[in-house]
Amino acid sequence: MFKINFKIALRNLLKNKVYAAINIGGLALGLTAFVLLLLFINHEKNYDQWDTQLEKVYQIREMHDFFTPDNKPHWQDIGDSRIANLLTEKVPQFKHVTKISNNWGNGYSSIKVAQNEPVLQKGFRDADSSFFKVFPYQFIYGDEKTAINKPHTVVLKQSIAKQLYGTDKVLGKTLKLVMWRNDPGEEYTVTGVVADPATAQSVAFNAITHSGNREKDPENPGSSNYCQIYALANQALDTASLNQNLLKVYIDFKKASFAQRKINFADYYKEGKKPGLMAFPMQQVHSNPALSSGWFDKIKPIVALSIFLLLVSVINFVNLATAQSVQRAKEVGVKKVLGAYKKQLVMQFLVESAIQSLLALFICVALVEVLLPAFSNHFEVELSFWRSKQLFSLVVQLLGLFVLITLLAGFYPAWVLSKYNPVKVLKGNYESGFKGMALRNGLVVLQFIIAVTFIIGIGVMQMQTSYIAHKDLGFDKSKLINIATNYDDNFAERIKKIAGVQYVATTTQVMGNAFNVPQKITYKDQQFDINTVTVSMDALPALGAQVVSGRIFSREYKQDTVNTAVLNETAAKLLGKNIVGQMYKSGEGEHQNAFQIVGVIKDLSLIHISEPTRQYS
Amino acid sequence: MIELKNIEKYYANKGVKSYILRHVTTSIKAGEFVSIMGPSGAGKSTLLNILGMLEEPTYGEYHFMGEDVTALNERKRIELYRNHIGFVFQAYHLIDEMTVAENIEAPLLYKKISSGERKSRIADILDRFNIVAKKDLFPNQLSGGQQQLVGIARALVAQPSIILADEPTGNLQSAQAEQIMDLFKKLNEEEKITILQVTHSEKNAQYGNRILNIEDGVIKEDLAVAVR
Ligand SMILES: Nc1ncnc2c1ncn2[C@@H]1O[C@H](COP(=O)(O)OP(=O)(O)O)[C@@H](O)[C@H]1O
Ligand SMILES: [Mg+2]
Repeated sequence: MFKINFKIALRNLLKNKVYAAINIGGLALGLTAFVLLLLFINHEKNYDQWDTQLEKVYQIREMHDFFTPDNKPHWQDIGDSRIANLLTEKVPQFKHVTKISNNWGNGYSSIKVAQNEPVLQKGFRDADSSFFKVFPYQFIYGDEKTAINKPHTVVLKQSIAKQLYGTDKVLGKTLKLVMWRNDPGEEYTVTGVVADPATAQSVAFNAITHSGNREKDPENPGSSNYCQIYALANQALDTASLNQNLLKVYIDFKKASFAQRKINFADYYKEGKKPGLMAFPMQQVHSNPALSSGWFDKIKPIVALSIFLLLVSVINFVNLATAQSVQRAKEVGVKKVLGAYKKQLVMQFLVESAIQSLLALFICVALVEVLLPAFSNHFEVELSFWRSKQLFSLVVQLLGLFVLITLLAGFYPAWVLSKYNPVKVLKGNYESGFKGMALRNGLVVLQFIIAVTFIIGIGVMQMQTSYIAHKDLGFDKSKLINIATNYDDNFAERIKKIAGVQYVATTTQVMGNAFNVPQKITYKDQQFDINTVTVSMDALPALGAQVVSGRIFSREYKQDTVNTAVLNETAAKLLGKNIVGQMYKSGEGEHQNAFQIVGVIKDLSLIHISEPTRQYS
Repeated sequence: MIELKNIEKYYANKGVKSYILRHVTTSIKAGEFVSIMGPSGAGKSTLLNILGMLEEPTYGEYHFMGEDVTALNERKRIELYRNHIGFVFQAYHLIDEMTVAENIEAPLLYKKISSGERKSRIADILDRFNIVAKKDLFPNQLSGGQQQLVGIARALVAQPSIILADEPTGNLQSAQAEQIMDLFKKLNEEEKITILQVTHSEKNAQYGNRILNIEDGVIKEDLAVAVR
């Protein structure tokens, strides 16, 4: 029976090719979006799941207000390096505690291998010698117990070893690590190569360096070294009671430290400021990162989007299949007369839906393969499908999806079909074929609403992006390159020598960004709040600033090297008329300076138009 | 084999009952070849559908091989007609997406008959009806007469005790019609299959041994056909 039903299904699909193409194609599209989402969710959920030991690893979070965007205390995954020693001594449940340098800045360092040109690499992180005791990376070469015991040693991941040296047999080879410009660099010896784990890691690295600096804490009790701290416990612990203990240990530590520094504990922790230390299970870190929202919160809109997309394609399928069912009425009638049970007919039509969703699934798999590189790139994750190390669980999920889609899409049409009254149908009276009209109309309306919502959403997004893309920033960004680094004359001169470089200039604010230095200035005995940017001589011509009145900074005017200012139009309006040539004061006491306003330019930045820009050199 | 007592069928439309069948009481014995005749709209097809258990009478008693049909649940009823009744339609009603052989096989699939048995029965009947060469063709590749042959083959393959045929030759030319009628007669005489056909043709009715004349839902005459 299955064989003949299968044949009938194929013959019907071949007979109605356009219908089949729309149905299967639509379903394939909806599925593709959903499967991509599924891959992404799998990837995110599998963070830090690559070894069972990670169940016993904890991220140590400290409550403090350093480096927070709002200057208020928050739980942070970077803490005082002294905490590591404290935990080793005072918390017996922790077998090993390790300190890892935070990824400051953009996390890049310059790596020079032998006589090769130096290359920029992410994820060269400095750790103390306990790192591989806490994180159970599998050593392909080298000894995990001793690899980073000595200063100036480095353990590479296999992938980066191959990338840098072309091979992973690199034990004993050296590389030079340059952390910032003018850093003479330090030489590190490769003492280990570890395998890349199967799943993503929240303590991501390409290489773990051991400079030796992580081993010691600053001697001055008033200064601290901030780093990430991870601890390996004897067993998975009850964090609630553990954290009570940690807090006690931390308060004792702070009190001792404050006593040394003659700070009153009660005075320090007031107005909502509280001491805090806690251990956070490593495997939950990725979904609950300190200071930012978890991955799931971030992709909620995308989850909704792909579910809706899948829903639309399923509705489309249901509608077309139900509309198509009139053509199958005779078959149903005859089969009933021949003695088919309703159940058998429902099964037959479910099998037909199954065939179509299976075809859709195949197309979807192909589409996913094609789209995955672009998708991975866009979301900055490494997703893979066939090469996925969780292929089995993925296949199980796809099968589940297949069954769900088949039932969702196939059940209603199958039910409608199997309900046909054979006598009416065989008399040529298809009335009953339209009983499902109300539901179909409802589905079409729902589909329409979802589609229109999509279209409006896309329209709004389009308008926003085009607003940002086409907004007149006041400068020509197509010819500008921004390098985030410390200013250095020698460096600037060398850049200037590169062919095609017209101006090299520095600003304290990236144009188009909203990171401001607010200042109070006094102009004609009145106080004004304005935002300031300090620039070098060539900055304004480099930005293509358009002069409204007066002039911009120029080498022809000696006094321009210090204490002159150019205002933008908004600031100029704030201060009043005829301001070119006038002086204003800023700062207080001995730091007070007087600036001469030499010109007014058009507003430059994207920042709130009410915030004037002031430049001096 | 069939006992009808006071069968009534009406459709209620806006409170008005329109009767299709009234006081139909008759019995049909195994081995009979009965022709139902009457003007269009008289209720012949309705009667046949009730006998075939595709429709339920509004009122009355129907016993089929001793079973009270109106008291059966749907599943039992389907089982009963699946095992004992073969249908032949005026418009043939073959399934378009199935080949001749597959169409003939269809009723056997629902009877849970083994694949070997199915094959031999199909081969047998194709042979008997002289349509072996056509077994892989689709219905739209056959003439009307050939389609009706397949329709009858499909009804017969499940080895029913009774065949219900609603104007089986209504769409056929007379030569083809004669062939079908001869076949019915042969089946009735040689294989003792009970046949109940609806027909408009006096000539076709003569092939059987009994004629029921229906007018306005009432059996007006019940005649035996003179043996020729
Ligand atoms: N579902 C229905 N509702 C109302 N009247 C019906 C329905 N089905 C059939 N009829 C009527 O019943 C009468 C008998 O129909 P039918 O048994 O097909 O007649 P025959 O086969 O003798 O030509 C016809 O007048 C037809 O219009
Ligand atoms: Mg009729």
